[in-house]
Amino acid sequence: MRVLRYFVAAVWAVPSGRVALVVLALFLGLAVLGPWIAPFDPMARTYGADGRLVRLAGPSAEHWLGTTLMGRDIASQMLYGARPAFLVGGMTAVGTVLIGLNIGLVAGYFGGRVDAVLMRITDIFLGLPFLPFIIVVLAMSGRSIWTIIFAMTIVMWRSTARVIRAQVLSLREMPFVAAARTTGAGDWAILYREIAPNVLPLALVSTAFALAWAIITEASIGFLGFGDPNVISWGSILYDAYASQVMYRAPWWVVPPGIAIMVLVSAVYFMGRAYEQVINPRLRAI
Amino acid sequence: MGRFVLRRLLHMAITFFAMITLMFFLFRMLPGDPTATVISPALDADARAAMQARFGLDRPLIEQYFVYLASLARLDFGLSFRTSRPVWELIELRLVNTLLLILPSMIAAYVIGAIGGALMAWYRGGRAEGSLVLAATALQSAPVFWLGMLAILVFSIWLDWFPTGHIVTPGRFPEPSWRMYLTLDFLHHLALPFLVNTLYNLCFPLLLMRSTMLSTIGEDYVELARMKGLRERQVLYGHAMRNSLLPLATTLPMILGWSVAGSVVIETVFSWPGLGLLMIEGITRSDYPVVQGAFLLIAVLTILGTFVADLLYGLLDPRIVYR
Amino acid sequence: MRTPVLEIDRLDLGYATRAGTAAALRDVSLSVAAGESVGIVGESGCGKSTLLKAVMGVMPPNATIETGAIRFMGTDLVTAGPEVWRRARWSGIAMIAQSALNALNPVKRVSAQIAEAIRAHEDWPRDKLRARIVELFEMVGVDPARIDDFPHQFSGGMRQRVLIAMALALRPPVLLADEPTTALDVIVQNQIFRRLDALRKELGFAMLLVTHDLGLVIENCERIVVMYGGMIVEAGPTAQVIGASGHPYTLGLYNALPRLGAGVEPISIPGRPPDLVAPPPGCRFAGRCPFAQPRCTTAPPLNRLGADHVARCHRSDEMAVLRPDARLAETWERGAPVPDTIDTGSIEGI
Repeated sequence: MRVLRYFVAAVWAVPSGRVALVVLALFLGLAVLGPWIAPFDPMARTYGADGRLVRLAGPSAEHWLGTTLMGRDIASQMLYGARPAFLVGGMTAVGTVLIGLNIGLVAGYFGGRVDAVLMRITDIFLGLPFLPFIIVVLAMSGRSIWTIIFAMTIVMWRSTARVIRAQVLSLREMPFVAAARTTGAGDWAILYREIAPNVLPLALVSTAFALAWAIITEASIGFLGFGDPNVISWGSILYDAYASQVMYRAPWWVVPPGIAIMVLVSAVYFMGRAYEQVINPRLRAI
Repeated sequence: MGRFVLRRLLHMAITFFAMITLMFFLFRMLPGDPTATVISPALDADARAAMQARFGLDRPLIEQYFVYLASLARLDFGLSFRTSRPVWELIELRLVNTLLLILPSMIAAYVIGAIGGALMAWYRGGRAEGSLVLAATALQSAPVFWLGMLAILVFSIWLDWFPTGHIVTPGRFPEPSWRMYLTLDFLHHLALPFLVNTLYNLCFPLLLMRSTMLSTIGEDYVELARMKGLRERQVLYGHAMRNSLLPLATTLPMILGWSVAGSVVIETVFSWPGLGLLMIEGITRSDYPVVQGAFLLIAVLTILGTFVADLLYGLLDPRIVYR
Repeated sequence: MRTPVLEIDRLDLGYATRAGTAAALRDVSLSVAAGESVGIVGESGCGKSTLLKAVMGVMPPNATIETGAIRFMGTDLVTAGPEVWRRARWSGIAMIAQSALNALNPVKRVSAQIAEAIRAHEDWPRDKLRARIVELFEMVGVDPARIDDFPHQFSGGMRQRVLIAMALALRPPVLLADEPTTALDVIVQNQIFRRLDALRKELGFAMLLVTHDLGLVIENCERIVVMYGGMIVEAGPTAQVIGASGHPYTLGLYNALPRLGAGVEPISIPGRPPDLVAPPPGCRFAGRCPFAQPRCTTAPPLNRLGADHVARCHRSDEMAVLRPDARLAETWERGAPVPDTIDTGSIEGI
């Protein structure tokens, strides 16, 4: 929690970061409240006064963003779709960083054989084609939101591990590590009490970028038709639109989910970059 | 240098071997009986066994594995469950299709991104630069399939400039052949996916080049180059940009590998018959040899990309000492 | 008197910052004669590096020359336009850069980096270029077999010599040196200065050495220019500036010099250089000067103390009396008289 507060304070100091935080808070609010403020059941079909299905209706006062081919309310689907974006993105980002951070710390600190083995393993994962791998896993073990999180985490920790390792390699030679050693601190104590806090800023940047990447990937999986069939996500809305073959007659069906993803992910990127600027002033444009 | 390359080659071989092994067992654990899709359960037991024998599915898993390794060495990816034809035959043209889409667009993205990013940093601080950063970030944050859908909506449906998908007009070439790449029809179909993929992939090199350049411009050697009386253009291209290209150039092969993997999405939107689409089709039809073949080829390209990136890094920066 | 090759005439330069315009250089006048060696000293942030960059015409984008002229061989580079200035760089005024490690482009061979400097001004064939580079390496004492090495393959001292070779490539009449030896140990530093001195006598270029190290200037320069807060506070022949300083700041700098075996501890000047966005009225040193008086809140005149010796201080003619006091550590620890006393003084004056 303290880490989070420190992170938010740092990002808040940069103007673009401030905007990003406000946008993120807004989306988070929608994700939490979505199901309560959604005007309709997202899966319910709307019938008109004449008893016929209201198909592909344009935006109106009743249906802010119109309806789908099956007569479902798009605005409600959008509101329900915010939750999986945060859930899948957030859990994947956290999982990614936890694995990547620990592997990077251990590989960088102990070096030698441990490093060689861990880095070979990282290389193997680096060779895994990102999206194809996730799809194969989903096809294999069923399409559920938890499998998506699991599969994404498996292929995403590798970059974090590499970045953290490089940083640990240089931190290992710093005087404060030698100082800790002379006081008789053990390897693990040095690693987690002295070195880990120093790579934390980098890990936070990694988390932000992992979050952005995970949100886009979750949408891509949904679009390819491998999303959780019981969950409405922005990706699955786009999949329904694409699969309906009539999406080109209904821009209101196609445009909003993409905009939502774009704005949310942009905000995450700007947050990450703002924080990077704070911890590395050289990146600041003159 | 020779030893370094040899070592990296060895690493690559290990990675690749591990990948093959992983994938083999992963695919064998897939749920359902894969033979069911080609061998009608209505057939009697003898006929089913005969079919299983034909595909080699009756032998122990470990034996299947070694047979698999041996056939991979001969570029033999097995037979498709669906068409009973060699997988390699199916993959060959699909690979060409993917590369014809991805390679040119990635090269275009990197060239435009590098020059654009360098100029953004050189003329930094203006309003135009700020909006470009915002636009590039937004574009990078949009899912590429959605950009593709919008492009089809605008340029194919509303303006009717380009076809909505496929590699040539359906029906023109009943059997895919090399001749179709020589037609204007092919280029007409290539244009829209190429543009969308280029635009989307341009953002990463653009933003990376800009931030690298911003720190390079402050370096003493750039100032000294100016003091030496070099013209501004020479300082920009010969020093600032030349040095900023290093980190960018080394990412190209790796990103290239990744974008081949990511092509699944763009190929789906534009019904582009590439490796990625082949894989998706394979999964929906439970044609596992095809899925596995396509997946392995994508993996090879990804691993190769990482390998070339490593070598390039050493070649471009004389400070790197090979260990 | 020798004719000046480089003449800086009442130069004012400002940096645009968020807080306002920083007066980085104010009324800086300086002339350098052919073959002469001049040292510019001052604390970091006094404007000496800014002055060198201004002379080279490579100021950062937020810097502007407000008034004044920089004349090289009689031509004012400020008004002559960028192309004339570009041509004057390196062929007329060359520079030995401060940090040898970062001043050389790490991914280019040093021969290529010297060659490009020559080619920016001369159209020489390849053989002549290479012959010149070999000649330059011999001149500065680096093995000519190494001209095609990369910068990281040289030691710190060798890199500095390469930079000197690069600076001499076009036989410039003026050579600027910005802290050329800060990163090096004392022995290498001495070797480099001896080499520079020999080269200056042989080739006849004028040298403008910029450093925070007064000792280096005393040993190597015929004339000293002392800068403080973007202004020249004292200038003159080395012997006069050191022996008969006309400005308390010069005395302070001299006190701060470590001296071996003299039994005198170095005394540092307490306080910091002034804020250039809102500089104090009058003398910019008054806030740290132990001899400050009420009148020091008005701009001090540039007093002429000798044929070629000037100092910018209200009390420069009293220096002979103040000098013994200035040698004592207590004087400096006491610091400037508190502003209150200055104010009281001015009220009394009314």
